[in-house]
Amino acid sequence: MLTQFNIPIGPFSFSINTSNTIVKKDLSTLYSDYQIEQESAFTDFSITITTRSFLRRFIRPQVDFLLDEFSPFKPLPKAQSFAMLEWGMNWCIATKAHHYLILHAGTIEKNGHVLVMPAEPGSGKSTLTAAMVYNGWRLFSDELALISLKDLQVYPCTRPINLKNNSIPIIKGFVKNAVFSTIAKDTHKGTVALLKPPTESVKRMHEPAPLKTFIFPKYVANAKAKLTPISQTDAFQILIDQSFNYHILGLEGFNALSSLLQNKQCYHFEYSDFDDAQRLLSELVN
Amino acid sequence: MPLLINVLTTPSLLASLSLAQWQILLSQATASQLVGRLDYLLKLTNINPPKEVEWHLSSVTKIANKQRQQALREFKEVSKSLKKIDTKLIFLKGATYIAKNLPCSHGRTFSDIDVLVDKEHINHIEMVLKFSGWLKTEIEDYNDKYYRTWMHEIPPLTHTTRGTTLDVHHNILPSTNKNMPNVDNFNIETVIVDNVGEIYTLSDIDLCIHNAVHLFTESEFHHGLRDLSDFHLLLIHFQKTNECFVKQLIERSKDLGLFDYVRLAIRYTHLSFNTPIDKVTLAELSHQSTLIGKLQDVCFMQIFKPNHSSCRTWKYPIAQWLLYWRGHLIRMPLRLLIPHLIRKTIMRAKDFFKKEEPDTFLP
Repeated sequence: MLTQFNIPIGPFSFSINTSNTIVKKDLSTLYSDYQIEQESAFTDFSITITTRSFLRRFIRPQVDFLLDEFSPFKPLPKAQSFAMLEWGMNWCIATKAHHYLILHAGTIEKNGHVLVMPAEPGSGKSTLTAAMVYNGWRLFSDELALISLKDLQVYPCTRPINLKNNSIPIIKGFVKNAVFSTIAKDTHKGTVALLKPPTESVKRMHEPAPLKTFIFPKYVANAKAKLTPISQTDAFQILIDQSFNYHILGLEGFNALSSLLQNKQCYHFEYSDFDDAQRLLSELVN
Repeated sequence: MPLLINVLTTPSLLASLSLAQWQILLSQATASQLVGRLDYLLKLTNINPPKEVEWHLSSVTKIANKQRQQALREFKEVSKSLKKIDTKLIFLKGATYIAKNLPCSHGRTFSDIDVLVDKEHINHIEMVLKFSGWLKTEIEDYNDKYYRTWMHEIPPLTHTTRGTTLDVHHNILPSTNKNMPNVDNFNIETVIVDNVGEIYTLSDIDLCIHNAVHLFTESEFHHGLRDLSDFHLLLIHFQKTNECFVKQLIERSKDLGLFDYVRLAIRYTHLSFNTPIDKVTLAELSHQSTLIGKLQDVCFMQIFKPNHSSCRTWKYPIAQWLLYWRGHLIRMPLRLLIPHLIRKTIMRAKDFFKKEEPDTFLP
């Protein structure tokens, strides 16, 4: 049976329609703290997870992601249904919400200050974000930093955290009673599981906060947590590379990044131990 | 009529829509690639959309503006790359609308830049473009051969650093279409573009003819409503300064042997958007056979609706099927078409059993 979940996520309203049992179960578990509504006056993104091809219900089952009625991606194996939904939701925001400058970055807040942590895939940004938000920080996002072009504040886009491969057992060991989605194996990113966001972060998902600074994290085995200052021009280049829509925003994006970088010291950040990392990052926002 | 067509016909209706209507309108416009046009019409009529809708519209306008910048850049780059070759270089379709700064260019998104060059130099042109960074996208050998043997263009080229896609044509119709015109008969116009300089486009009348030919030789109508709406805005715009524009358009299309496509374009633009056309002219545009005329009306009026569940009826798939075959039969005779379609079906069946890799970058 087709079930509809109307979920407000930060500044967006999603509607997710599906009869897929994996997706229904994972949505009910991971989004249990969200104010799921029966009806919403206006939906920004109306998503359906379904299987369109009759044959693909039986032969190597697949699922389709539909935004409204159109599918922007090829179908994926059915076992990856929920991961596909979460990737698709990222895609919706990253390709449509150009009233924000959107960076590929873990984003966390403490004491009213936001740290935006852009990094390449595989540098441990989601893992670090997961560890921090279950250790005194507020989750904004593990993937998408939304910087408003109106007020240059950072807006939360609080959603489950996407963890890959070894990060899954590591976070299971570090976060007590962590709640995970069904684990999807053999995706194009390896094994993937989604971690439920902290309740407190979900409750405060409509509260933006100003940016403290950008830090560029990298996991280095056995390294002591270390912040290395980086020049503003180097930071600018990394931010452009890690932006989803800088090329669309053009001058508007350039002006936003220039204003954000004014009088800010950005850092490369190496870490291996979460507690060590937490202490050092907290010093930045005290 | 679907809500989207109503507001495109009468933009002032945008002032009195409920939020629920906006939700439907946005879905229909997204399905038809007309969100940017809605935003343009809102600005033109000084109407403010509800705050929930506003960013959806302005985001598409930002994408359209970016594409406009990209087109302006390519005017310069492509002209520079082909400077040493003795060929014409005419920008077509979306690029022309931008070059001439026509109303339909605002908020209009498109996927590639189309140019028309001399057929005799096409190999040389492709090679020179390759050295300027324009590479062929991955294409099956069969499709590549099909393009080169039968089509009026070479396979699309993508620029390695700028990411733009370029469609290089040597005619506006494939050689297998019985109406293929002699491209030397088209009227070419010089346009001076700010910060770019001189570029070449088709004349106002000929660019309308090209729009009509392109639209009414399609077999799939993914941008059908968008292109028809372009044609509507073109007619309105050109009629403002030239009362006889439509008459001249018809005459000229007869001279070029392309009247049938122009006839359909004017007829369905008028039926869909109420484009002002006088009665005498309209009467001239009906099909000689009443039966075929009726069938065309049913099919085209279905296909020029937003491709969205809120507009679809049982007639839609039938119209889609008939127009699919119409398009293919116009493109080439059956003796070529049947082997081609069999080949395509086999290729598709093979794909079904191949392990699929996601082709879109998922963040």
